[in-house]
Amino acid sequence: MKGELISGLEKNIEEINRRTGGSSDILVNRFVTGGIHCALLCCEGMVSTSVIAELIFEPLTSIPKKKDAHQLFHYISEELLLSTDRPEVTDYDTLFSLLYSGFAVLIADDMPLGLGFGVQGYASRGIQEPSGEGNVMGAHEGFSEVLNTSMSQLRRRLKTPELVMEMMKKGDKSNTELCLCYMKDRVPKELLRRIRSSLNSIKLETILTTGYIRPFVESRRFELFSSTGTTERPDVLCSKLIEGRVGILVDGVPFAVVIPRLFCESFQTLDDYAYKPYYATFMRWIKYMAFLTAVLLPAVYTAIVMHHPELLNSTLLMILVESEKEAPLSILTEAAGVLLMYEIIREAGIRLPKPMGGAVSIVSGLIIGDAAVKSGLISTPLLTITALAIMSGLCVPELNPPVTILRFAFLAAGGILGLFGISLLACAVLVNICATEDYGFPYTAPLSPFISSGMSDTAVRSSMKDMQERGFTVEEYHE
Amino acid sequence: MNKLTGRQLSAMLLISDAFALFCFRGGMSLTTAAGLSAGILLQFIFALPLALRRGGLSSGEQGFYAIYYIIWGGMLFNMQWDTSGELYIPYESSGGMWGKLLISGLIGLVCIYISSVGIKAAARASLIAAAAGGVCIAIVVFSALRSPDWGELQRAESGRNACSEIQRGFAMSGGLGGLAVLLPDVKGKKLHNITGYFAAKLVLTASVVITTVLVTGGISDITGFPAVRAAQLSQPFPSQRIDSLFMIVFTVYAVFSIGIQAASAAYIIGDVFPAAENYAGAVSIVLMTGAAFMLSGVPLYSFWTAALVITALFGVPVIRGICDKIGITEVKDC
Amino acid sequence: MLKKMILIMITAAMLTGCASSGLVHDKNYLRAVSVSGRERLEMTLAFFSDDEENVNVSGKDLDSALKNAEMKTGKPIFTGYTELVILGDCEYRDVLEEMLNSWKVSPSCTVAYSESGGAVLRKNGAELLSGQIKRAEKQDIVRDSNIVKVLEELLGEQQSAEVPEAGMNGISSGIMIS
Repeated sequence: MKGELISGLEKNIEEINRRTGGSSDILVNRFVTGGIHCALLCCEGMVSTSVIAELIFEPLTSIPKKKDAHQLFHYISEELLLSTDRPEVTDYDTLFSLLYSGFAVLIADDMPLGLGFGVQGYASRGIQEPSGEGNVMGAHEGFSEVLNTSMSQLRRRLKTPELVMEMMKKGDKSNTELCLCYMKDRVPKELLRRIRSSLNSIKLETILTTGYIRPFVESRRFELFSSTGTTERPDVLCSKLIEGRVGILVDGVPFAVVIPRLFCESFQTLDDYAYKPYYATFMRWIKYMAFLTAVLLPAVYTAIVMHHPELLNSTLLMILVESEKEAPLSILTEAAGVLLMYEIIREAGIRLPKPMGGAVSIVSGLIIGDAAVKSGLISTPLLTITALAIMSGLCVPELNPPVTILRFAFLAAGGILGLFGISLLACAVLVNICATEDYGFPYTAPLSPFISSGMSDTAVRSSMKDMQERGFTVEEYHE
Repeated sequence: MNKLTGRQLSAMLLISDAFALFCFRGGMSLTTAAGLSAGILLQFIFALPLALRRGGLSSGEQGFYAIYYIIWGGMLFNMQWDTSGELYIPYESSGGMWGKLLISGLIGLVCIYISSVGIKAAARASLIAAAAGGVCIAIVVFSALRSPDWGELQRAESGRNACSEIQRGFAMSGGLGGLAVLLPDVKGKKLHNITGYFAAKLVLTASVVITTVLVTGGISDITGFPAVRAAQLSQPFPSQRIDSLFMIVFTVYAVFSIGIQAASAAYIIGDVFPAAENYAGAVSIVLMTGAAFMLSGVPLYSFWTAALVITALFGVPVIRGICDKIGITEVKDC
Repeated sequence: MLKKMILIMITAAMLTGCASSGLVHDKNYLRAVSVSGRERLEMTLAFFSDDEENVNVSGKDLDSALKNAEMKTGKPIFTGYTELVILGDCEYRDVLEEMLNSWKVSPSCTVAYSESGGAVLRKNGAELLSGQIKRAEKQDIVRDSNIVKVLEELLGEQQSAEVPEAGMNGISSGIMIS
């Protein structure tokens, strides 16, 4: 779509109509001002009509006669100052990019330039509480779909010139704006260089979610756990930027990508730093155990009951034998069925229309849960175990996708080969996690390589004074 | 190669040493503990020159150690083959020869994966596995020591003298080849790292052997694998068995012991034959399997095995000396 | 490509174990056993489940006797929970050795002696006998006689071990077996 603007007004407008296929959301307002024939272009629904009427049209139509279009544009640009944002438009790519971003663009006869005015007025969701990443003691603001709003949320929290926000556009068709955020005095230069290089390699038509760009900034090797993170909270992103990490905001997406991400951070929340260290440490360890429970509990239960019953005491075993007597299927099949049922109900809960929420609760809770147990299809101990595993997984929601898959994999390994199978799979998973490394930052730091100073915010949560003295930046973990 | 840390190297070597202890055959006694401990002290002395060495390995040394890794990996495969029959791996899947082949095959496949991700990832994973396994071993040791019969230390007899036990100790220490190869790539003071490793090895060996003697000293005549049997007989509470906990440790340590040898061999093979870099891991496992077949009749604790290990410790200076004499002195940087 | 092949091979290898039924209630869990006889072993087996009655079988060795018991009950017998072994006149060391190595009985499994072990087990029941022996140990009437300790003594210099004697009227003080 490259091409410089045509000088003649009518030919210019014809060319615009030709390129847009006569799209009816492009509004062309013709008028004469300063003795020059002009036209103000805007996109319906993207601009604020009141702002245009008061701040653009009124001043524009009161301009005294000018010698030519160049003088007119000079007068508007230097003396009228109709908006804070007044980019020049020299080609049709820029013209359409501005129009579709909510700008109004002024073109004139005999003028190969256009002048944009930032009068955005499109409807957008305001700042709301993030849907995930809930917390008790911190802010209740989440990012918004509008990039500028998200940027302002960061700027309000880090009022320092060290915070740099680099804008760029990606996506051949979508021209989506991305914002690379970092603290220039903290970020490792090599990390920044490599991230820029990775972003430059993006060759996509559109960018609609963070998932479009994350594969480009991660390693190509198969990784169970992602070495880049996302966050919906500006306070969390600020805490990461202070540590020398890089954030990427995407226009239209209320999530930021954080690079690099470590495994231990999935168990950290902002609430940890609001409570006393002893309580925060206790909650940290609860989450570590919850993660292991979520992944391993159904598998270990299945393995022990099917292959290693001697590990249970006799009383417990007899209870299990009694409860499984009426179950027609093996424990492995039962457990897999219950977990699959949960995933179906969970997915249905996310996708279903709100009016149907009550019906789903009744079907899943009463019909599937209660009736299945009473009919003997599923045993109560197994249901308890899988419910415990599922609830534990919800303690670490960020790791939900790999936890879900690993849960099934470990269940299969444990059910078929017992604790031996679980051990083998655990070795493979451990090696995969330890091999996850991007930009020279091992995903398992500070556990392996073991960095004792890192334990102050991993194994325990030290006091803020101790952590402040440490002055941590992520470059400490670089190999 | 990028740098390893001292802890990672120690973890890799200790896993291999612990696995060899688990696979120990024949009786154990106080003489065994004393002999193995003396052997560790000798190994420490022999390993001291490695701390003073500068630079990486030459091509000749790489070739030697690649072969060494293949042989030691084959011996580890044999140890795992012999010992897995003693463990209670689910009987429905491990019936007879096919079951053992399945178990060994699965371990081999996981080892191929470990070797494909590289020595650095394997080193990181080893540290975590060694720590977790160490906790489990400590649980087994404390369970065994709940009601010990200290008289067993005097009564138990292994039927071997101290020199024979020292030889055994060397024969079980095949991981020392890894010390010779990987020590140049370790960050920090090498002498410090070596001392820490051998101290940990001494504590591990002494505690496992003494615990085994206390638990199985009286029934050593009917015990093929005393360390395994000691773990199976340890119970923290009268009504609670934990032998399957030991099986987890055994499996993890078997995988990492063999996998690290394969990863190290793959690194060397990939360096010497860059065209084979993508398949170096699989090639090393296949070669190790072949070595396991060829060495299946070789006694594991023989003089020749011990001599091989000693050669691994002294291999670098000896080969370097020979290459200097011939005129080949190319040494690669780390 | 190589990694895909590895994944397929691992999945195929693991699925070879899928043929097993894996039903926990499809087994009988042995609680106590009495063994006697030298030429031909006579065994009485008592199980945890109240639904299963005691089973009397015989065989030329422990393995064949156990197989006969599985035929009689129609289910595989899991021996890892065995709490009590009552020995009559038999090769004590060989029987206990096989139980420890092949049956993988618990290390805390108690060994007792009885001239008519099968009858004692049938009359008193495994739960009562196990409880009586535990109380006797606590009251120092008999010493701790778990299978490992008894085997150690049988393999030691004396080649004899002291175990409690189980009679129709309860547990009496220890008796030497060799």
